[in-house]
Amino acid sequence: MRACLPFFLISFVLGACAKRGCEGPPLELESLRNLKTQGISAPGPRSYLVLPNPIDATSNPAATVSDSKTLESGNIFNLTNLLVPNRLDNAFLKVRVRTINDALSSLAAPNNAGDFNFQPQDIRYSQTMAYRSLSTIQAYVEGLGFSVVKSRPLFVMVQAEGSTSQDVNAFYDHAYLNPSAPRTIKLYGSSSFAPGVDQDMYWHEFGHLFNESITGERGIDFAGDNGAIWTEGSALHECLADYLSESASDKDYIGKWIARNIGGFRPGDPLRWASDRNGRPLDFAAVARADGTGAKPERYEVAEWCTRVLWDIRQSFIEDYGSDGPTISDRFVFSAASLLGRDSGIAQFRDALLSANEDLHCGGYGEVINDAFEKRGFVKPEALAGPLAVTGTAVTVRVNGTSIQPTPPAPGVSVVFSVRIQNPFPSVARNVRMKLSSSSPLLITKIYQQGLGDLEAGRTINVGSLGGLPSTFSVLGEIDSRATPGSAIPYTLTIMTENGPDAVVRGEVRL
Amino acid sequence: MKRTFFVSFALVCFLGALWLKPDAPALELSREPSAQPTAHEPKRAPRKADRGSPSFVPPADLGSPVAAANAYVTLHRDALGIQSHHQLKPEEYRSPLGSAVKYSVYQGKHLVMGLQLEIFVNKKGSVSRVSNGYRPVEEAGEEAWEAPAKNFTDGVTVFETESAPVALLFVPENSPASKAEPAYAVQVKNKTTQETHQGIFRASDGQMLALSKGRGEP
Repeated sequence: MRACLPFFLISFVLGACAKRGCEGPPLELESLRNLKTQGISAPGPRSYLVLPNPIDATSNPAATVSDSKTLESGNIFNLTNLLVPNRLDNAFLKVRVRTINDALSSLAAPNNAGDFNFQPQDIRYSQTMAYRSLSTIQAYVEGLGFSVVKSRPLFVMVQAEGSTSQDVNAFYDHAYLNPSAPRTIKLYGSSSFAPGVDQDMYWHEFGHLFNESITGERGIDFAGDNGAIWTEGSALHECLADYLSESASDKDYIGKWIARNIGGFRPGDPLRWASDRNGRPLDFAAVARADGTGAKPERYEVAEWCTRVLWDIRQSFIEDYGSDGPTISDRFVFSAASLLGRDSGIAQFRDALLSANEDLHCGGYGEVINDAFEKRGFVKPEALAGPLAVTGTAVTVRVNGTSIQPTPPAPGVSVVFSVRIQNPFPSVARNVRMKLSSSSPLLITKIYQQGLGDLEAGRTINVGSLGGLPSTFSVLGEIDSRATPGSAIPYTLTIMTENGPDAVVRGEVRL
Repeated sequence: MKRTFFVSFALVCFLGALWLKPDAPALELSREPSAQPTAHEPKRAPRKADRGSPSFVPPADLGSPVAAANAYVTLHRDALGIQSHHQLKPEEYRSPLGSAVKYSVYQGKHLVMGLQLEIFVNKKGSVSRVSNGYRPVEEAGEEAWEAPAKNFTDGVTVFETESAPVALLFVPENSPASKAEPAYAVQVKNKTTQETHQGIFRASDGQMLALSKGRGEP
């Protein structure tokens, strides 16, 4: 028996070594788990908050801000890292109501006991919710091993200027083009179901800042930032923001509270589901194929499809790691996202997941990842035998707000394109995009790229002509005010698809 | 016989170790920076066979990822084509896969928007990839900002200014320009649509060169 001992020890050591490198860098799992539910464990002024919102906190689809059950379902949380104990600001995060320039005297202040305790219908409650939600989610992602870009402050307006009781909305602005502008989250809406009382809203909007942070501010949807209506990058942005909120709050949906403001949703219906309904996987073709009207593809539909893929992957981490599965899944998903480049698409994200899987989990989840995509119809399509059939001409227009009127070519005039794109092949053309470039500095490319979706076999899509998509779906340039009469300004339109060669249309605008 | 027994027993022990280890409870790590980290383990074996045990190579002692990237850039500055009138400012973006160190380009105090360089430093502290978005552009004179434009316009709309203009140099990414355009970054409002944008406008005549907007929900 004694002879066995060395073998046993050697074998045990060898067995342990065989796993090394397959579990990623170490994580403080218990503290991360607690962080998501209890918040940052540190001293600070107290607040009483109903998390994440009255509907989810009470499991009552009809809950309101003033129900007794809503008020009973709150808990006490500490507000940590405040710069000064009487204002909801820290070195990075600045909470406001309407604008960045709100008078400080109009903002939430603690009571005599030093606590930030307000009724949920009080706007100061929303400010407190904003601070607690955002500081918590920031601590969580930093605990996963990511940095959050803090080169500029983040201002949060919980009921931004222009809010009404009819409309709700939320905006995140990374302000890529202005190095002195802060990052901003603006929530709009002052109804009985105001977005400012809902943690989901803050976690989702923070997700956009987090996406830009982990991707090194490369602009995974830079075309969208510059005005494109549809891009796969925009869907990825929403998908990852939804996933962060859903996974960190351990819910397979987002937005039950905000949906109360939107027609067509019954009380208790969420805005989007991360899990399949009625056991039927949502098919990629149903959300990604161009319908010719501009209604599809739509960023939130594709984002919802994408979160369902990620929820499957998350589930497999739960099977393997139990209650730590969600945390390890979050680290994995956002590590993959950190590999994305400018104007990324779904295929690049799948590849990034496979790559991160090799790095963090020794390839152990490759089958899970591929299955999650494939069972929802995202498979590698057949290669097209050639480029798409494309014709296109430049049209000079004056754009004034939403009005686009044709006008003769002149300095300062905008250029859109009337384009016909046909897929003459027997398989789908994946992720069709239109890109504008010019060899002349006299054509300023404003909306340099637009996505058009997947183009079915034999299908044609028209942009900027009668019966087709309006010119707002076109790429857009502007003739430099320095252009002189007689100038010939060349342009190149490139029509790209992921499974075929580019089609190129060249032309010029003559003044 | 005895040898076969030991080999078999060792094999059983080895497989046993593999079998038992994943059942160990997840371990918490010490907060002490000096403590040796112990990785958590999955509750069952990974779904795919391990690709062998990675060899143990201690991280190169290059200090922080920014230090490693700085050393790389210093060594390869000529090959990267960085001009003498440009200075580089690093920012680190950390992830569990490593760090991306992104360099913004400056001419003196002015940011040169549109040029950048990104160095990827892996978990072992080595430079693993370089993404070079830098290209040579002429040096701009300070006089370019001396007579600023009166209006910022896209040719149709004269925008309402909502922030103080910031002087910078702009290199359009989809243009062959070899010159950095002296410009202003400014927050503007379109009075027709009431939309707020961040825009880049040419310093000399206020011509809009780029415009962006926020990411909105439906």
